[in-house]
Amino acid sequence: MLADILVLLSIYALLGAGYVIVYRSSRVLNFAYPEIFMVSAYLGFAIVATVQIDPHAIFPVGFVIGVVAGILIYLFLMAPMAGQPVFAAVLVTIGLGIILRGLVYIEFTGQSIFPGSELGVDNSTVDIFEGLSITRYGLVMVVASLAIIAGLLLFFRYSRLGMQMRAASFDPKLAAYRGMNIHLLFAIAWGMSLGIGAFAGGLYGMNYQIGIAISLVGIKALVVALVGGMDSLTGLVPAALIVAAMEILVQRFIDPALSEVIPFIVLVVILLIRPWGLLGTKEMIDRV
Amino acid sequence: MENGSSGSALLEVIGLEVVYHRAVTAVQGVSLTAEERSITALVGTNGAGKSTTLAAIAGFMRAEDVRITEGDVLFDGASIKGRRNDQISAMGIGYVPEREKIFPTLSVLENLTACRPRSGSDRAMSIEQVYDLFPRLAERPNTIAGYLSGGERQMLAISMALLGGPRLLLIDEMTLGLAPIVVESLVETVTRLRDEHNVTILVVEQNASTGIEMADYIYVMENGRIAFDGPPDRLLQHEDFQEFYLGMEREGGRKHYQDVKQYRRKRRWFG
Amino acid sequence: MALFDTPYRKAGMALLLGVGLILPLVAGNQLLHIFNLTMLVIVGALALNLLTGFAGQLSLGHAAFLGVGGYVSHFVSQAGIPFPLVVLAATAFGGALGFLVGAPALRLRGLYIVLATVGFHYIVLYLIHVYQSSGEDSILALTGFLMPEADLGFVVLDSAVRWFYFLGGVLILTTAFCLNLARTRVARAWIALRERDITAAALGINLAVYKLKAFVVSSALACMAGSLLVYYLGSVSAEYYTLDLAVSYLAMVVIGGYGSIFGSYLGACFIALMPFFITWLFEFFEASPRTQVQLLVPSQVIVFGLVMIGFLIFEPRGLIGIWRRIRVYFELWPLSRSILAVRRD
Repeated sequence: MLADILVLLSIYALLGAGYVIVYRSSRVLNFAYPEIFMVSAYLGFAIVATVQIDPHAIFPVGFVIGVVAGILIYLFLMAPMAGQPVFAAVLVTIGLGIILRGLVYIEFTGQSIFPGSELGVDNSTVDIFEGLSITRYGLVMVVASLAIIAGLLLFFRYSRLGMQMRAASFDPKLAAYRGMNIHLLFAIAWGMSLGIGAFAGGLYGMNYQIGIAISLVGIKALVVALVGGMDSLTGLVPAALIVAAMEILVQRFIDPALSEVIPFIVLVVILLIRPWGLLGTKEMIDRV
Repeated sequence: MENGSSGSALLEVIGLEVVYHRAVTAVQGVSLTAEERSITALVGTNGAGKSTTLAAIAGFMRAEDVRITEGDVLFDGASIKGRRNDQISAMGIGYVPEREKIFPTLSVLENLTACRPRSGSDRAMSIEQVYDLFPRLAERPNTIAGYLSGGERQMLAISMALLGGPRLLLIDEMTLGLAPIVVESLVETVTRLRDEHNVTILVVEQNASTGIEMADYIYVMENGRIAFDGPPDRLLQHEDFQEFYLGMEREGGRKHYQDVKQYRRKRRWFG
Repeated sequence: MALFDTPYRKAGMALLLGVGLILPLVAGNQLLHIFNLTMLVIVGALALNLLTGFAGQLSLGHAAFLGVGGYVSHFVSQAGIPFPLVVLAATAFGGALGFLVGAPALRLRGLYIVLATVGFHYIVLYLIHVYQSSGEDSILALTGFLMPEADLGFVVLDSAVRWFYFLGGVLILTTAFCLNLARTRVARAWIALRERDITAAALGINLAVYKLKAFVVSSALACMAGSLLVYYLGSVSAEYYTLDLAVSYLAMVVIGGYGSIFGSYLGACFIALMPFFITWLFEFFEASPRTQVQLLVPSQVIVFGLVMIGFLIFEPRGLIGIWRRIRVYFELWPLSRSILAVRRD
């Protein structure tokens, strides 16, 4: 059970980071992210299965495709929305999500796939210590998400690009005047976010299964991002812990159907008592 | 409105007209020049159009639907009218807006680092040079900029503009709302910039006496027009300037409020 | 009535009414069914338009409101209460629910309201599932419940024609209500709230009261639409109330044009009729049944998403914006060469 919580926690934290990066740089909530996560899981599997390469190629390939897709989405869908209200851009991402879901229906007829067994990879459990055994890809997920979040934290804190991204998110016009290429910064943010999403999609598929319904995981990750604070990377891990632990505990001991709504109950509660999240900036909420 | 002194003009504004929402003319036929390596001040009361003029030069209009409808802006002989603000900035014009001039969620050092160009021109200043100009910033590199005092914000904003290595620095309301001691240090720094770093400076000032103190040439704006201009010593002889901007008393006692109002009205129609 | 001030509007309304009265006599049942559904959708879209279009509170909870309307109707109708009272009860419950949902939303703004409504949606969906599986019959738990016939007392709505007249009446009443509301202080306060809430507050508009009012009115209307819908369809099932449904209603408001009642009509017709149009296209090109089964739903979804994005990027003012430009074009004709390409600033 501890292992379940850990794995779920890391997938939430990873996807939550995807939301936070985009939100931080452009104040846009990417509602297409769950679908992007789902599509990339399908696409990664399809590519690896067709080309017949090492199944692990799914990770780098997925990441690269995600980065490219993120940059394209920014350039063709988000950049034209500059100067319009933020929620218009959010509605565009909702529209994009719908399109992606439709495409998945057409291409994969929405069936469930078990990439792990179909590609014949070894996903046996390993014992970390007495009482904690975790699947191989589950372990990869935990390590990868911690590493990625730590990397992102360092990036935003110490790199010049990270500082510029933070600056541009606050005042794009002034940032542009001070010589920052804001379109480049935003495109990088979208690329990073979608790259992470695609990577997570591939990993999720290997460990569990792929289906239309996994987009719900993406929506729950949005809840995690909000609970942590939409502009806070550090808030992700505790937020993911809260949501994942409650979800798994309720699933085990109370009612599996109820566990599906737990994140949303957490969402409503946190919006009531602390809308800016555990570690988010309080002022941010007034700027939306 | 010819600038009296000789020397080459770095910035030339010719007959500028700026219109808000296609209806309100904020700036009407303003012409001015800023000589290379000089400090020029735009002085005037609230709503005279000083800030709009400066923003129009910088191509940095916060409000939507503001247009330059007539006139031209020449920088180093080439027209920059209607260029995108980032292009204007890249040409070597630094601009410090009146408000929202820093990134308040970043620390001082992060603000500076973010604004440091990757491959700056040879004019670009280093962070050390900027710290040398503003020692107060050097003392608190890790303070979040949103918590700085007004004077420190102004210093940070000017520093951020300087990192790009501008030839022309436009500062909006440089001393507004700052303590006299801070004003003094800013004036000193600006003078240093002109003398040691060859930066041409155009400032907007509400306080006419500060303008007199630091500027080489002064334009006085009223109701979107330039009412009169000249070097400080000449303006000090100007009767209207003495009375209405420096508040000096003429023989026969202080003028009545009604007279001041009358003066404004006269200016509005005939200025 | 001052609502129809110009002769053109009067003529237009008269024409519409005339067509409406005659239509059932000439149209077949299938066509009437499409019209009936569209009218129901328009009522739902009008409800959301009050909240999103006028008051500017983006909501993805609309499917949940519709669902609550449907399930409350089922619950109440079990007690043998007549149809009109059931609809009234659902409407009243909707108003109360709107108050409950709106009160916490007072602390939130913008995107956070969207998120809160998403949370609300999933919670309601769960409750609906619980309710549906609470019955003894395990099959009902999967398929949903049947609704009784809609009996108005003097007539039973058991044919498409009768429903058409009934829903037409409902639609006219709802539209009149919305049009009338749009002229009041409330609607003006909502618009101020949408455009800039801080300024609105500074003008002396009590944000909390008006936000709450928007939630209450919108939710009540939505529950009414939800109630009528389940009676019309004859059954209520949790499957129907997806987040996609909420998105599609939001899309109607966006595509139609924010804060325009006529725009809601256009948007709702557009979204409600599109599936039928796509089905017709498939038939026109004689697609094999297999392709139809495979592609019909996804292509509807994709076209829907594309249209939504297209409007947001190229015509943010929606269909009503296009309509207004065309109208100006004809009003100014022949002096209107460039009006259609008018600049967007």
